Amino acid sequence: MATTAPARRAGPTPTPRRARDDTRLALLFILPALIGFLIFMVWPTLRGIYLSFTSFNLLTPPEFNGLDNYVRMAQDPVFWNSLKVTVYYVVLNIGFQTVLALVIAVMMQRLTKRTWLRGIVLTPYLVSNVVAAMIFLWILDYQLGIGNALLEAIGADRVAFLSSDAWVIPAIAFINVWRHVGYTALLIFAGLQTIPETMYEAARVDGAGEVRLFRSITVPLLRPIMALVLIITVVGSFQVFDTVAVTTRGGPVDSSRVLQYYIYDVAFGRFQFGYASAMSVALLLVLVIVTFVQYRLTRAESSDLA
Amino acid sequence: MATTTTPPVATAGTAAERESAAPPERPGFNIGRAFAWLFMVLVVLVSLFPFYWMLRTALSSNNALYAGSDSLLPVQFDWGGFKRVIGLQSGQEALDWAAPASR
Repeated sequence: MATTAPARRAGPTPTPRRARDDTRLALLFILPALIGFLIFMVWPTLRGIYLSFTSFNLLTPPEFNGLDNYVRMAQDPVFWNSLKVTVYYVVLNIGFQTVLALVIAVMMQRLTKRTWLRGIVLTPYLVSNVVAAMIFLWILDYQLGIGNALLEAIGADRVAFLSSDAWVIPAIAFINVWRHVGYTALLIFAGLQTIPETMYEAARVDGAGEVRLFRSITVPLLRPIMALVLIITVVGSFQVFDTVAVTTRGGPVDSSRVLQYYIYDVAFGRFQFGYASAMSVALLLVLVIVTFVQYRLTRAESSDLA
Repeated sequence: MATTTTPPVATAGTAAERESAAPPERPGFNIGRAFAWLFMVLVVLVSLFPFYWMLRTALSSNNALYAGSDSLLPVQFDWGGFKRVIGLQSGQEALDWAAPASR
């Protein structure tokens, strides 16, 4: 330092030390991930979009047929029904899950900070979707399920959770809420940790109660985190598949035939890959729009902190 | 949430007026906190019960499950399922264990 300082003062930089350009090194580090991204994300997406304009059944090469798949989609009542079922599922799932997760997160922050509680709340997330679906298929069974035995014990009627068209979507939503609520709560809890304790202290000095603290400090300062959590969970929720595949396979009739399951059925059950791709593109568009709207509505890019 | 917090609001208002020295920080017993704990206990129970049910079903005999479906303990306690998982059961034993009626 001592030797270079006079040298700099002496004149207009005798040996111009360029700021090191890290771009090439950075690209090198990104390369492995980039290759994976291109091969497993970008390429399938592009090919899927291409296939949506073709008629393709795996046996013969794809045949271009213009917008036929999209016309068929617009006229397909099963598609529209599956879209409706999916939206119904997303509303139920996200509604219950977000509210519950928020309450649990606030409890983990304000009521008790014990780590074992956090651990227990997270345990359902460690079970795979298929296993969770299997357990609840057994628990919610009309004849043999302990859930229905409990209902009967408290004097209620047995409910055919997974085999009546009124209950099947709420039941599937519940199963996924059970699995994901702890994880969501933990994400929100992490967001709560970023709110400075001093704000709560100041508000408490001013005489604010717990409800007021929640409404005037927690909610506004948590907005960016909530926005992120909502975007992630809504996208995940639209893609519900395995729970349906294990518990109901779209039944009874079409009452739990969610979009993703219908796409799977058309593609791998009936080998109409062109039409399935068209519906996948539709799902992609729905997700893009939903995410964009959420992003704008929640102003996810800006925080009120600092 | 609403139930947990109504009492503190009331006390906080009066406390601020009286400028009392006692902060509403850690009350000995508070009905709001009690409800909050009750809620958390419920959350824990609902989170863990399916795990218990998984274990209980795993330790039951397959054929007895249908008759004893509402038993909270393993029906005809049996290690068969676990034996099968770690490969200590022959194919014939596994078949017999799964469906003894077919013998």
